[in-house]
Amino acid sequence: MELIVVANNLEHVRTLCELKINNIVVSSKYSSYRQEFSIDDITKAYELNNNIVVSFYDLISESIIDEVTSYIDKLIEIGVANFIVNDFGLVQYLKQFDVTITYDSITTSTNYETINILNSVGINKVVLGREITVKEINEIADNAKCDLIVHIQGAFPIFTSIRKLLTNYSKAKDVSFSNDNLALYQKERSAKYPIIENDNGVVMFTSYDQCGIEDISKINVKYFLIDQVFSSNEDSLDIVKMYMDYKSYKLEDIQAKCNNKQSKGFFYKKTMYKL
Amino acid sequence: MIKPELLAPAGDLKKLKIAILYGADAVFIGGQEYGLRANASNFSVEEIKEGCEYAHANNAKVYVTTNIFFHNENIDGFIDYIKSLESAGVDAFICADIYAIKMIKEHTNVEVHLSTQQSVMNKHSIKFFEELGVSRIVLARECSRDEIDKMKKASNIELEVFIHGSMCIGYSGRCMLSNHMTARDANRGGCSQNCRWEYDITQGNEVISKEFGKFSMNPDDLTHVKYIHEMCELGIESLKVEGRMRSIYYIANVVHVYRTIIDKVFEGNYSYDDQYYKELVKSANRYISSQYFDDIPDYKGQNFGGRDENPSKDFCGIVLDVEDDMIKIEQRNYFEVGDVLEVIRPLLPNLEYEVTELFNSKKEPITVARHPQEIVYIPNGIDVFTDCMIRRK
Repeated sequence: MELIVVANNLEHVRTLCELKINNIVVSSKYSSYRQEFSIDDITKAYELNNNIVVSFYDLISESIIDEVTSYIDKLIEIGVANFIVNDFGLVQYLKQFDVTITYDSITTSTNYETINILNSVGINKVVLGREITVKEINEIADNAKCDLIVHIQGAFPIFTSIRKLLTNYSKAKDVSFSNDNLALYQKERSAKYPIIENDNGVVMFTSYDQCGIEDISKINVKYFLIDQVFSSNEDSLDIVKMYMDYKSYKLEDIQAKCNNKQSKGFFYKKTMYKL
Repeated sequence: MIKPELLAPAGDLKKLKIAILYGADAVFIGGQEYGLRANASNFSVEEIKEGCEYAHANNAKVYVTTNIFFHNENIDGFIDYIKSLESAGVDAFICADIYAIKMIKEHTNVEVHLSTQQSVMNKHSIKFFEELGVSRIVLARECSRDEIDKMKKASNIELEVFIHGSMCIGYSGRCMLSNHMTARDANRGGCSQNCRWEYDITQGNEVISKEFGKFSMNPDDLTHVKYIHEMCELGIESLKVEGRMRSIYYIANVVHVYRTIIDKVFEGNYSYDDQYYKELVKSANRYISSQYFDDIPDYKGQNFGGRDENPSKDFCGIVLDVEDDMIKIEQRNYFEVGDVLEVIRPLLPNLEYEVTELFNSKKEPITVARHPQEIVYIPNGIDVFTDCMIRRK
């Protein structure tokens, strides 16, 4: 079992290195819901850990695709050899380089046949869709020919729009508010979904943090992703330490460290589609 | 300039025939499995065969949606299913999952179109799917005119663009609101349209929307009616109307309008007339507006009152038969003697008709047609035929 941890900033990278975390993800300019690591920061992160992984979670429009591929060229020059991408256009571009490509669309990698085809076209690792059960994950693991990653800890996006939906509300209602700590509250479900707006539009997140510390031993994949998108460096590090010794902790222990509700998400909850 | 295909939705055999009659070059339909309208009536394999035979006899094509993102449990049976549809005569499959693409390429000789569920927005992504064997890409709805133009010039395969219908306000294929709020899988046809629900905006413990009204992510429906001539100039191969769950009237009216525009563009006598937009409004059940082609929609394209469907009551009936002295109509909405109606005729201009007399199914005089699907007659005095649509003027 190996942990893959998303870092908030360069200081976070340093402390994760001290914890001997080998798989550290830093966010490019094109993972716009995450704090950006500048090229300079990525260079420094790479100097701290040559295995650094750079993420591109945005879908890329034609108007910026050449800019993004030029940016990738700079990372290749630095020596970056590990990428997480959401857009197949970036898979296509990265295939020409000797790099490790991880595909993470957040939602769509939900069966082993697709994952094996992705592997055959140059994708080395796949982060599984978040809305599948442990049973489905293990069926995929039994049949997949490439390395698999399961999002084990932290909130994650459930909706992304290119539109500035909050700004639209602000203009329509003639009301102004800052962009900090915003959420959408759904009364019937008593659930609060954090929402971020930036130049790329909006991203809405789960109302909970995925928490699989009690389930990790039941899941037969090699890699587990920790992305504490709303946690401080300190809290995130504490949680990483718990996962490094996961047999000693329970969900309640992580709950005690976090304001967000901790949940097993879809690990034991099957979705339906025919009523 | 290549004349683009006009691609229309069809939720059942009747709608398929109406779409083709009114001028669609192709229709897209859903089978009993693997499509994104899991709870619609959908087509059996036998109905797909009948639909293909009808379409091919009328020089039209039939595409079948198999655009779910598969879970393990959906894999068994897919190869047999696509083979059965190849035998039924389908012209293309619309797919999102790479597994579906690969199986169709390996096990059939049918074309594969990439669904908008993959949200393709750049030339490298197009190339990725071209190398997988896809012959057409349905672009993400978020693409602008300039972006479509650049992608068209940089790619070798066919592009398809949505021109009319309901919108996802988020990137298609990446929205899991339904899964998280109702445990219904959006990417397997269970979407519960949670974007159109009402929410409060909160900031910490403060409810910002308390004073200003609820927040919703409910978008206008799309119409690119003003830009069809530009889309023809861009060389887009297929222009797509959304709405497999919509009525025969919607399909007839929308296809009629876009068929007229495309034909006029290629006859060289087209100029935009706002009447086209007004025609489309008559069969809309939400606000309709242009989106993304010129710019990303602002607050005017977002409706904050939650779900706001307002089904049109204008559709009065469909012509079932024309007898020597009478026109037989199946009623859909209230109309009465004295009303001025309009008849939409496939590939012909609309006609005006004043109801001077009205008869029930026994041809006895009545003054009002008030019951949905009741059979009524009006005197035959205009050039109409079976499957003409009658609406309030």
